[in-house]
Amino acid sequence: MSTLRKYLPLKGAAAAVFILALAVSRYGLLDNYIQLILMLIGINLILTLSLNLINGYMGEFSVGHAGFMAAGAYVSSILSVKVLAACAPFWAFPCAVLAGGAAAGAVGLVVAVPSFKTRGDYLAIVTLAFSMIVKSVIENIDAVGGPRGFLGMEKLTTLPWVCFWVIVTVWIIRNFIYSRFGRGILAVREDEIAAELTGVNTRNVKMLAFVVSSFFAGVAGGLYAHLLQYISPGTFDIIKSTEMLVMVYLGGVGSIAGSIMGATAYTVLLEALRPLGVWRMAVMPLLLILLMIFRPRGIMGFREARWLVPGSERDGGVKR
Amino acid sequence: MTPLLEVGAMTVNYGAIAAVRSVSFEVHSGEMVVLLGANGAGKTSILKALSGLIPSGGTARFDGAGLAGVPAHERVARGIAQVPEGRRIFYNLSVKENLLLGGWVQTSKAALKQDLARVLALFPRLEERLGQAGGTLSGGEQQMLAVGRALMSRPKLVVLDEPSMGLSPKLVDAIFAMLAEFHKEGMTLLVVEQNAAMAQTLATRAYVLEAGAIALSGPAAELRDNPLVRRAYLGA
Repeated sequence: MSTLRKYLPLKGAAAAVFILALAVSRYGLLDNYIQLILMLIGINLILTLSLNLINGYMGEFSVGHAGFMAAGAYVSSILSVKVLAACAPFWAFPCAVLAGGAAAGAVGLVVAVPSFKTRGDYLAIVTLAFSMIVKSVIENIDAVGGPRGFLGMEKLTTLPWVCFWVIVTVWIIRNFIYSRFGRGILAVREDEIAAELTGVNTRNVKMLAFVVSSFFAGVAGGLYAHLLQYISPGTFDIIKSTEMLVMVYLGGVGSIAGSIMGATAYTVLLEALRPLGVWRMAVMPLLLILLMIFRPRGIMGFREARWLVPGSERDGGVKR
Repeated sequence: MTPLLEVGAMTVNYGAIAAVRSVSFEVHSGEMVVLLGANGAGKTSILKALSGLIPSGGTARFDGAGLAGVPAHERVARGIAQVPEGRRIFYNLSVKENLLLGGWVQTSKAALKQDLARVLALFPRLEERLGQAGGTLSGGEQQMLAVGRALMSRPKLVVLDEPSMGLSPKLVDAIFAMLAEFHKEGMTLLVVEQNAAMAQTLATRAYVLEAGAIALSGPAAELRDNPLVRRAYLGA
């Protein structure tokens, strides 16, 4: 297996997965329900990676990522319904999703500026307040349906598109983490003062990571909106943020492979537990508690699958 | 000749408590200067102020430019590298990553690679441990890592805060022998120490701090013979 991984280039694997997704979608190789689950796994994976960048790699604690997801979902939906609907060539949808991500990134910058002005754990409080603000702002804008929600988007999110964005997310976040800036983010997690003393501009590094993270949460929001074709402020409440936290801590902090596992396991389990009705929402938090007791760093905590590590970092690059 | 580092009337206050009161000192290029003082004399406060981690009063000039308002990370780029108190290496990151972080200010990949090779040549022990997490190193190796990390930024001045702290006497000897070697090669060093005997044998000049102010200063050899210093620090 390890030899296979060594000789199968990551890019080839990504291309193969994408082609497979295209085939599945075009020829209906899997039934629609399974495709829906796969797409939800993909969207959750983007969210998990986005949050893992902040909570896992950078060691800060964001609890309001649903707010960024909401920003991306609403901006991309408004664009696709009110602006792009008339012409809508195939590239209109990725543009809308991209715009949703950009909007979320801009909002992320606004949140990051006051949060990272001082050292310490203000981020949790600020992001919590922020996600509440987003929810009440949307509830009070009638043009986007207020509390009733917003609809009219076509079902543009397909398996190949989700696959495409997952590959883009994994690729960008992996390269970011293994870059000079990524090293700075890890240094911030380990010891912020020591990071500053080695010359890392900790504030800039933290803001950059936060903007990248919120961008991808926004992308996930755009995909989500065009999958379910209906969004409401209630979709993006604290429960949604909690779900993201569960996926990050289930899979493992500071690990891309962990995020893949966490998002997959959570999404599949939530579906499998559907017969339990409302009780399934009690099972997941319980799982989280058990996890914190027996494996507090998650399945892959601070470890990475070898095939995700760039070749130049494989020796001398332990512990992300 | 203008000094590389010139600190004038530095003050550091923690609320109403004055930790450093009007301390002036200078470090010339190629010198090894030692700040001596007992616990609470204000040594670490001076270094924290010097690295920009805490606000301070007075003036500070480094390499011809004022340091007022320059943030900590920018001071590293200007050439002040610090080996902080308690070493503060990144425990969960590998030795290699620790060193590469030391060269953060270096944006050219080729130059960074060169610097890494240079530092590893100085510390062959670190090369053996390159992939190991920093926290798994022994105390002496961690000190080497902290020094190596500081050297990665090609500093003009290396500031060391109690490099002998928590190390066995044998390792203290090794660390000071290494510092002496660096000094001989022309490196400029500012060392804060409690280990007065050792520090004074090696230093060019020394300042003795007492209760946040400089009590004595001069060539290290002269201070070594001063009865006050002998009584207070050398146990004679």
